[in-house]
Amino acid sequence: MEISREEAIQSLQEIREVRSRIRTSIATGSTPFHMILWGAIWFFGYLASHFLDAETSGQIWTVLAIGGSIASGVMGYRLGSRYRLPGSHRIWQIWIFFMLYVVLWIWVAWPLEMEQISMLIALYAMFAYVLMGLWLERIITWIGLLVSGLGLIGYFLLPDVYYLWMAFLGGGTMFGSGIYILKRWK
Amino acid sequence: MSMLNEIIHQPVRMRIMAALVALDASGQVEFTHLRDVLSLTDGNLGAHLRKLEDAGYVSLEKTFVARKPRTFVAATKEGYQAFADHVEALEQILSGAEVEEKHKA
Repeated sequence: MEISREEAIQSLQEIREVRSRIRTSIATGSTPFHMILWGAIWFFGYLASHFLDAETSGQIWTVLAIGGSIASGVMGYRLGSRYRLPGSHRIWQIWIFFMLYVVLWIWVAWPLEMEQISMLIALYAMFAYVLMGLWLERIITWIGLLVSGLGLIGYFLLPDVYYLWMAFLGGGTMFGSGIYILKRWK
Repeated sequence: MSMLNEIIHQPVRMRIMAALVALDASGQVEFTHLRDVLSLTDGNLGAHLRKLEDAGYVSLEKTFVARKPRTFVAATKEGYQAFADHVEALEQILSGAEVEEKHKA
């Protein structure tokens, strides 16, 4: 069997392209779907914090957080099961330990203002994105840094509209980034 | 010197093997996801997988996940080796052509 140099180049290019597509698909898994989900949760949660009283918005946040965690678990399980790879359970373990430590840090730092709690949780979540991106795909790191930066600007410079700022720029950036990644990696 | 593998060289089968080998040892991918990643139809992917399975290059495992039947596909050891040899043969064609061009120059 003989083929030309051009055919060989084309074949090798196709192989590289398929490998890269598979590796990206493995690396990213359900990440953009989680970003869309949590972007929407942040958006509605922070809007509630801005417009409603503390007690009502607290109840809304509780429902959103519990619903979001269940939806994230189901989504991660369903999308993660497209591949069977040695060691793929580690990302789940990292997130579980990470959430446990968030609760411990807030417990130790208690009492905290609502704005402080929301900023700390947002920073912890974005810190996880930054680390995950270094390990998987660099764009996740950039999104983590961008949302952290926007959050800090709102927290320190715009305290009066902090929740509104987080709804549109924090939640909106997460949601938009999830859609962008989904389209880019498709 | 490695030889081109006629079974693997067919464009769809080559893409299937490239995808499976990218999973590394003991990795498996679900049939429907492989179909989507490679933009193939069920019938097309199934037919080419049968050829590769007959050659001993891939293995299929039918299983149930959350009570739904799912098929997982993986490259066999022979498949990994045959694909590596095929890629080496392609690279040799390139390096051979480069040497020839240098001689002509």
